[in-house]
Amino acid sequence: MSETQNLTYNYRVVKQFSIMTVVWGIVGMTVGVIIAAQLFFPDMTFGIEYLSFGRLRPLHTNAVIFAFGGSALMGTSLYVVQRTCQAPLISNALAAFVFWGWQVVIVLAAITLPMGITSSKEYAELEWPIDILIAVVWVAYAILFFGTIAKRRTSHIYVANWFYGAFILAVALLHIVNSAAIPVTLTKSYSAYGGAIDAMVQWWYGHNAVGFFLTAGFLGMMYYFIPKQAERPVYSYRLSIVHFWALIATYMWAGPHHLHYTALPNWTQSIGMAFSLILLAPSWGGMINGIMTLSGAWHKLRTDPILKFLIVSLSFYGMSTFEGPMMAIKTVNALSHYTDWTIGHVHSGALGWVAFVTIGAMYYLIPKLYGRKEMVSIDLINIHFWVSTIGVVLYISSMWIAGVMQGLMWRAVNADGTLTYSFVESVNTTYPFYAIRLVGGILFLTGMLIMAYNTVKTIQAGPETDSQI
Amino acid sequence: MDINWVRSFETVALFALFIGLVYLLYRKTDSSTFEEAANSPFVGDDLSDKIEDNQKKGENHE
Repeated sequence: MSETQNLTYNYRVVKQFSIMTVVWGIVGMTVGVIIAAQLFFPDMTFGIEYLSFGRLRPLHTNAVIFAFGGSALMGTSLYVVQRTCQAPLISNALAAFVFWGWQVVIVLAAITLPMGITSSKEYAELEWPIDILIAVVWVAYAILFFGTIAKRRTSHIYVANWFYGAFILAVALLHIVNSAAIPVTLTKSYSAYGGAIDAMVQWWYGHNAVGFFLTAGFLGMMYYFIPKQAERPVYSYRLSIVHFWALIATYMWAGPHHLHYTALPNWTQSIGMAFSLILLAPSWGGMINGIMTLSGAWHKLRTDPILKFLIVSLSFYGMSTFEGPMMAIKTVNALSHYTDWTIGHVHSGALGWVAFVTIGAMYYLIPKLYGRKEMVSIDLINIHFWVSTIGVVLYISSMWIAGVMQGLMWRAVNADGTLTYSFVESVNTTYPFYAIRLVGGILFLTGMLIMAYNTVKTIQAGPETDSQI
Repeated sequence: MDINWVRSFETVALFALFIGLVYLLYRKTDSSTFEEAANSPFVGDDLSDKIEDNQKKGENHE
């Protein structure tokens, strides 16, 4: 093995992204806690426009998805691609450009969104100059990733790289198509599409941001870090290939379920619903493949909190990919749409799946990057696991109850056809559940602060061996 | 040839492609390629593996 000396692997960019994953996780979730608190204490920010809910909410979603999730995906993908291709990144300069370019995008988002500069497209709020920068950085990232695959010293491209690769290609396509706009000034543009077509393009983007950014990318993470942490190969490599093709072929068509009972043509809505239902199969195939990797080694779950994070993330993935297709059924959607059930569903996926698998992967990765076998405190990882698990459960169960209640109250009619409840009555009934959700969010954020402390201590402790490296 | 013929053909062709993929993967042939691929995360030596090796050497003294 000495001829495949890996000393030239670029771990610098992986370290940078890993640290920023923790930092942006805390920032994004803090903003989330603030807006959750605003729903309970509406006057909390004294009417300051920069801190209003409408401006902070996109800041929260952009920070957790693109800053926290994006840093985690870029960092882990650049680690996994080097390790499984046994080849260093093709360019360290390009890697530095991708890291710093992405951080500039995040900082620009943090400045423009509170100022109210927005394209008003959900999860694509950033205005056109930032969109162009995103496209440039993303293309650089794609060149870095696929260039490294092209130079690989292995015959096979490991399945994690297929998922990361699909994530990179699809997000490039989605971002460039959906961000097409006609600029008016430096900070204002109008979408290149109009009416129902604009809405369809937006939700084709929006749902595939879920499908390829928040699912395919993190499945890549799952397919590397679960086998590594469990110290056994993935349950079925054949199933992982079926999983890949079925998932990416199906996700692209599910977007219209965001537009049930709107001006979108009925047949388009039905296609969206049908493909969302089909998605259950590849989603659960992947979940089973990940969880069964632990087959024969279940005892490890008792003692290893990192495996707890990784395996519970798949449980939440299974739950939310069951819930999602159900909510995409038009009759169920008639009840759930526009209610807090949707918010609960999203956080079941975002906190339970995306954040958990990221946290697990980071607890594996960070000590390795800094020359240690494991984090300095395993007990703190365990505490983090339980604090955030309780946080997620409080969050999603309160939003389920609130959402179903809102849906039922909004549709209730009296015998004479008038509405039984006014809107504000449903808000009033929801009020206590906003408090429970706030507690859940605070617990989850607390977990991230524990992680930050553990990370700082681990880095300070330094390498634990005096090996020649 | 009207557009619906193309649409029907596309649906059937994609379905056939998927069945073909499953057949290719699960037919009874040498599974060593898949095993080798599945083990690729464990190949290669670097800092972390060396630490693990050192730990194992340490344990062996007991």
